[in-house]
Amino acid sequence: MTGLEVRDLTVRTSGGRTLLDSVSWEVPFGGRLGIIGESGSGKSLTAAAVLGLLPEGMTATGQVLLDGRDLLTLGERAMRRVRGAQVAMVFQEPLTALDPLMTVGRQVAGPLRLHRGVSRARARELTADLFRLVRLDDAERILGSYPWQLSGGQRQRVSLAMALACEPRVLLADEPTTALDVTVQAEMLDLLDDVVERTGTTLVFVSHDLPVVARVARDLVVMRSGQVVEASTVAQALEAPAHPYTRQLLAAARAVSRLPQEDER
Amino acid sequence: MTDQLDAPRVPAGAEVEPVEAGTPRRASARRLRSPSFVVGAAMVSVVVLVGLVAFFWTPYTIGSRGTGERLGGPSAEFWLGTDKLGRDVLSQLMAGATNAVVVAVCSVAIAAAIGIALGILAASTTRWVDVAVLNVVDLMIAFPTLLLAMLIVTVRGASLSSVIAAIGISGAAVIARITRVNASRVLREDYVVAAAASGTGWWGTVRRHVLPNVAPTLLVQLMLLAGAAILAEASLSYLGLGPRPPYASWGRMLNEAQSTITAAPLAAILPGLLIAWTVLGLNLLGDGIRERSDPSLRGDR
Repeated sequence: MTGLEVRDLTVRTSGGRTLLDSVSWEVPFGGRLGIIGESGSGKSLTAAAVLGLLPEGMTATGQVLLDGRDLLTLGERAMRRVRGAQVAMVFQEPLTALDPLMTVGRQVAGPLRLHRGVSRARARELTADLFRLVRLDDAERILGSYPWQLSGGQRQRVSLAMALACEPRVLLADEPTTALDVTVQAEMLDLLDDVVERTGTTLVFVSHDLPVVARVARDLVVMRSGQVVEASTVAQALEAPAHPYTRQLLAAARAVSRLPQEDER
Repeated sequence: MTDQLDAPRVPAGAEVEPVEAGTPRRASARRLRSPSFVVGAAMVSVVVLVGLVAFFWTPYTIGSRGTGERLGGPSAEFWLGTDKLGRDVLSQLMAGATNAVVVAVCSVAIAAAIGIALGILAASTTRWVDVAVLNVVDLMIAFPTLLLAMLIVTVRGASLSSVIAAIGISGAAVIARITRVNASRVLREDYVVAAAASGTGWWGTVRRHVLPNVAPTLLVQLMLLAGAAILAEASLSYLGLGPRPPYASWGRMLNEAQSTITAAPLAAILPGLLIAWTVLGLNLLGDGIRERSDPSLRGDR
């Protein structure tokens, strides 16, 4: 399949505990997959395993196929060329995901210089373009700013720009809006939606929040205790959830009535 | 745009709203106003300047044989008098500053080179290497500098380089431990994971993220170490384990002036005062650097 496919992905600790149990899902290039589950369900661990960035002591078995190539079999050097260049990631907490001592311009330019080997000046131009792509107004000024000088929403846009710097084929977004407050969250989701559409990037969106996932994803994987309990489309899961846990999530989301089909948008 | 500035790692007083482009410059101007930084830097500069001058020129040459009368008081010819061998005290004090600067710079450089490398290594490899390095470091820290210096002197003879090696090696242990603690904290940060996720390798992460983030803490420690090095050199020289003439040393001056302190008090008091002055200056400078890098101490923000 041309896309990202996770096949029987199992992650164990050195103590023999199974954290991910035969997780399988796939997303074609250009597709949008949402992975939803409560904390501890293994959704973030799945994303880390795809990038080969499991915490020390954990081992992954199974397959992670990017365009047919199994990433789990790649060595560290080859894997470094995949990270950021073909599969990139946006993290949950935009403040801690940026180095406080480095201007955000230099941080976003990092992957560009690393993977593309572009000059400092060229990297700066490209970074300014990226900032415009993620609708950061006043890109020139933000280039020279430090993370703490920016607002939460701006920081997350910077993180998104950094992830998109080398035009990766797959963007893993690990709860990218959870740390933002609701109004900024909505802006960020619209932006993500728009940017992914325009660049044709494949999106894997990890969240515990069903309404948020429903807003940006088409396909849906529901995870619980390290296993996939339901795999369908977002529309289907909203209409006719198959698994009791999905129904539970849906009921919980309805209770606070933030589901897209229930407001007037 | 509301914000999430409750996160603990925001430097105190970080602006919520986007700030003017000139802010970093203003912040650095504010840092320079830290009184201990200014005073410390001034005190240390004086010593460094005198040391530099004395490297090229002193009023009288620093020999083992004096040029004036013995134990002379301050005069137009010998501003601060002469010691029991008839040597000019001022010239010796100046050359002592050169010695102190050389000892501080060289031993701190050795400590930094070995200590930072070991600390980063311990922080970023497997547990076994980490434990091994930490045990060696703990052993080194427990081993008194004086004893190490005696060992080195026994093997190599008393000289400037022996003293520097002894101080540098024992300092390296302290620096290694501090680097290890701080580097492993930085290596757990999200931005290091983010860097790895964008393909940055180990060396790239160390260079771009770890070193800059441990630098402020290390800089403070290196300043304190420089002070400790000058004290250690003085103690070693006082005990006769330090550099031999023609190198002048405040510690040796103290030793030599001890027996004649009632007849020529200046020759005993001045080296002591200079040692205290220099170490105090370095400690103040260290405090000043900590104040500018530690936001919780930055009272005005």
